[in-house]
Amino acid sequence: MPGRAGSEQKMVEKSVLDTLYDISQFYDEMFEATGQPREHYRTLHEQLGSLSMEDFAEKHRVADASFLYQGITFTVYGQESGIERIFPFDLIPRIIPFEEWRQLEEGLTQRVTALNLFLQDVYHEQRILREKRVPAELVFSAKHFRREMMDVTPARGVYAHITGTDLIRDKSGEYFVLEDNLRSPSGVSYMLENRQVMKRIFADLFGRYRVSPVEQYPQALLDTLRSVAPHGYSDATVVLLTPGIYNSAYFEHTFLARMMGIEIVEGHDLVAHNNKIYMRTTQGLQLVDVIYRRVDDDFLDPLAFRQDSALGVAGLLNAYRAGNVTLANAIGTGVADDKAVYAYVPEMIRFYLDQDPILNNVPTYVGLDEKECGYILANLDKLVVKAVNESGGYGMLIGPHASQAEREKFREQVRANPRNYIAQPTLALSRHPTLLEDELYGCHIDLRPYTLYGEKITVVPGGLTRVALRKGSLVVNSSQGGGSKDTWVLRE
Amino acid sequence: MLSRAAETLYWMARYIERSEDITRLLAVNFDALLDTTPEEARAGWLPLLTITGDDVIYKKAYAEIAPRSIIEFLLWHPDNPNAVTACINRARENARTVREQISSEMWEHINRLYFLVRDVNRNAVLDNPGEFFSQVRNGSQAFQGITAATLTHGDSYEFMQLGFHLERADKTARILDAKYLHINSLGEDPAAAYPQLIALLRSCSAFEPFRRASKGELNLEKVVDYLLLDRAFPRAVLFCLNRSLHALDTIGSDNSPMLKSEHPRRTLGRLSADLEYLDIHELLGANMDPYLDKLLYSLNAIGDDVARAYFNTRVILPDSRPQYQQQQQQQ
Amino acid sequence: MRLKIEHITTFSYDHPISEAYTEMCLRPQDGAGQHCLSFSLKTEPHDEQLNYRDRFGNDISHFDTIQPHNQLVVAARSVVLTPDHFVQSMAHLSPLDEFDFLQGSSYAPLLSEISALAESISTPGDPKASALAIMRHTWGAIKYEKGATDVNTTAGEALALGRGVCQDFAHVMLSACRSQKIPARYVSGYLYNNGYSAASHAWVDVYIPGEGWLSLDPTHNVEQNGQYVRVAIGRDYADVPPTRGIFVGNAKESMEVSVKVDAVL
Repeated sequence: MPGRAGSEQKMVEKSVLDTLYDISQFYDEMFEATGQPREHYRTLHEQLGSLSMEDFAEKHRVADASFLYQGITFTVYGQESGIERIFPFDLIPRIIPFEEWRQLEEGLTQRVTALNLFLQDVYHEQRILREKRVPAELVFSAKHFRREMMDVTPARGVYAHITGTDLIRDKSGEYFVLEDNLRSPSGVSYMLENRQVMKRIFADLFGRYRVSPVEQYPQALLDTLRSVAPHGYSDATVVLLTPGIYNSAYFEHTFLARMMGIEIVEGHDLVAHNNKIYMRTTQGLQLVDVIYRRVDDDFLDPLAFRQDSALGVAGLLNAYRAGNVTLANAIGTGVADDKAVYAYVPEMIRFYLDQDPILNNVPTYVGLDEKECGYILANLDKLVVKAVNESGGYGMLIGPHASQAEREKFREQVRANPRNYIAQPTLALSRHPTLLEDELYGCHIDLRPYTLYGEKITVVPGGLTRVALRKGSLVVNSSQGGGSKDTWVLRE
Repeated sequence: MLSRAAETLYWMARYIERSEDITRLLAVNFDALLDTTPEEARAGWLPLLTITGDDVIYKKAYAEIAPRSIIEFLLWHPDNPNAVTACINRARENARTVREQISSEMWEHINRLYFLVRDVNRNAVLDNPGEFFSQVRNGSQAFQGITAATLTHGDSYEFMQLGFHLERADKTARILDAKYLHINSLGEDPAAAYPQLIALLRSCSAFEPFRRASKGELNLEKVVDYLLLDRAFPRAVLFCLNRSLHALDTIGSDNSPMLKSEHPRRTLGRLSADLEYLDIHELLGANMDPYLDKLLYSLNAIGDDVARAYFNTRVILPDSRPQYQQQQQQQ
Repeated sequence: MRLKIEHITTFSYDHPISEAYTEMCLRPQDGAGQHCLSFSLKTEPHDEQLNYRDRFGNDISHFDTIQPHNQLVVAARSVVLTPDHFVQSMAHLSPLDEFDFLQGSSYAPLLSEISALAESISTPGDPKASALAIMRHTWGAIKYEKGATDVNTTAGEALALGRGVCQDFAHVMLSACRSQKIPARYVSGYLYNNGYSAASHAWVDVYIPGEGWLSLDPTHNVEQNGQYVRVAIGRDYADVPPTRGIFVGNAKESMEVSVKVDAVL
């Protein structure tokens, strides 16, 4: 139902809200189906009504300049010049009421607990596989299953210290987990920077909302990393291992290292000796206890994994196996965020915790299962088919929008290698009012909260709301035209 | 600090200094040879290639010695690893990898320098290079000033000072090496020797300071003495060595001093003492060339020692956490 | 039998290298009737050795040398008591073993040619008879010839060539057994050849459901006997090379291996 969202407060000639805004078809975060703002958005709505387009454009300029000035950019390489761009940012915050957040927090804690128990199990007794609750073949054939991790127990038994779970909402507003990112989820620096910029620009609004802070994240991350140091060192030396300046997330790496006050190192800054890891400093070799690594498993140790890797440290795996250094996240966590293994997370929750999942999965059909594969092949025109090892919106067939030829191509691929595919119904991602070219438009969004697991599980109240900044687009990835919003979790 | 960071800062400094030194040489030569015959000019340009040590590469790239070709070669020929553009590119790449170690002002400035060199109209520069030369020189000097004014004067800063001064000492020695024999052969005839001596001083930004220091005398002996042994002139070899020594003394003085810097400090200290007590008369004439060769060799060796001591931490291992383990046991 | 083994590997470099990391899979196993009576592993330059057990239960030693060197020598010496018959009974395989030993691997991929051939000589429902037939056939299909293949040759290439060394025989047999759903694993070890031309050896274990592992040598068409010394098992050669490593430095590496196996009284 199309509606005109008006304002009652201060009258401005043409406010931000004075544009046609379509709230039909999808769940809208700000507006009820009647066109009224939801309760927790009312204050923000009033404020927007008092802002003219010009005011808003001015605020936007201030925000952009602030990002650029602080160097919050990602670098577009390929050209010698190395253009630096800011990550597109939308000024209208996404607001999550306290009760809703509490549910999410419980759901995430439950899920991360189960995923860690699953990792502990598949790398030790494999009970869940022996009892055939999860197909063994699915786990062992996962690209990121690491045989090297068999019988290796990381400090405190924690595998996924940092998880960035992708959540979406369907038409009814229910939250679903779309992906568990258990390797090196990125984006948290934008969560922090977005908040800083918003505080500068909407200081008054913060006065009228009780927003939970997120600034403690770097300290919480450092505490988490310290808590999993080998042998329980309390003054552990923690470093951040980056692939280097050509990595697209390099800004985030330096940002986090600076915020935590730790060294940012590259593979050749480290050296393994007698099962310990040292960094090369001008004062000699210095022992390293915990490595927050933003380098994939494959590239961590050329002795154990890819020989051609120049990003890693030869001998790192052995030092890790001996318990002399902690890697966060652990090696081999990727087996649990394989897109097909994902389908079994609700089963893991039931198996390990004897609980029902608080957060549901998006219904998923697994190619390896003969029956489900049959369903996929019979319904290619209705489903979204994904290759399990691709990410960032690549290797995907969106059935309803695909041509016959594209569907046939996928049919062949699924038949040839069913293990490699899953399918899900097309999702109706919720939308959020977003300013697109001087117009309020409902853009699709998701939510990535960050869960830390050291001594205990902490979910930082907030997260990265990614927004598809192209009209109608469902793809929120920054590589494909996505941007972000600040995410406000309200206090009790 | 991380060895890689120290190494990167050290080289960033050396490349910046190198780009300035080459540019100054070009500028001085260009001016000095404007009012000479073409034959004299060609003869005057040749030593520039020896100074930078890239004459072999030049001969592969160009058939003949022509001023325009030499300027082009030293400014931006892609095969010349020490071309001004190459130095500035590398300085910027180094800055980028240690972006979190340097100040925003330094990063901004080095970017500005980079874009200046990258985007300039090259043909126009070759037609009339004077303005461009001074822009590059100013860029490098301003960078050093900004560094002093915005970077914490800790290890990072000292590694950069080490880079600036070792590079400077090397360039001053090379310039002397390239010019000495020729000027010496001109004998006492002021008409022939003066322009050459002035150009030599200018090549090291030393003309005016020398005039003040020498109280009106201008001869080869005084000039050599000044460029090698002055303690206050920032491009004199002795000054550079002493400043480098100071950098080494400062680096790592807070813990386990001397353990690592023993090696470069010894080589550097010995060389500095050697110059301190040098009798310049022993060097004049035929002895100068071998002496300068030895000096250049020692400067190289110091660079290697610095790399071994600070940048390749391979062999020396600390006792792993000795105190900590004791504490653990007492608990 | 009581066998004495000396396995010396020398890595030489044409320029000094600054860092080297080496892993060694050289210790004879204990178990299934075999006893490793003594074992010593010496390296030169000498550096502290550390150990771990890999996912297949093999003992791996490793060490790093972080000083410049031109040559690295690894000398393994052991005395082993071997059983006349290999017996390893096992009612069930673990889920991971069941998966790994039936999958194609990089050296022993599942290929339609090998699969068709294996099917034609197998006896359905009788894995033991099938495995023996596959061993005999592999033995006949490849002529033992040193130098015909190298360390990178895969099962398909060796079979097509019709020539190879023990490693190639083993890989062909692994492919064939796995194609018939018979779990099969690669065995790395030594063979006592009455004092002649010793080298490290490789053969194959096959799993007979409900019974256990049967150890077959397709290079000689015999079951493992007292002349065999078992060192390690894996999916194929890639899991259990006797030595492997990585070095930092700008140099060319060359390797020399000498193996002696003698009977002792």
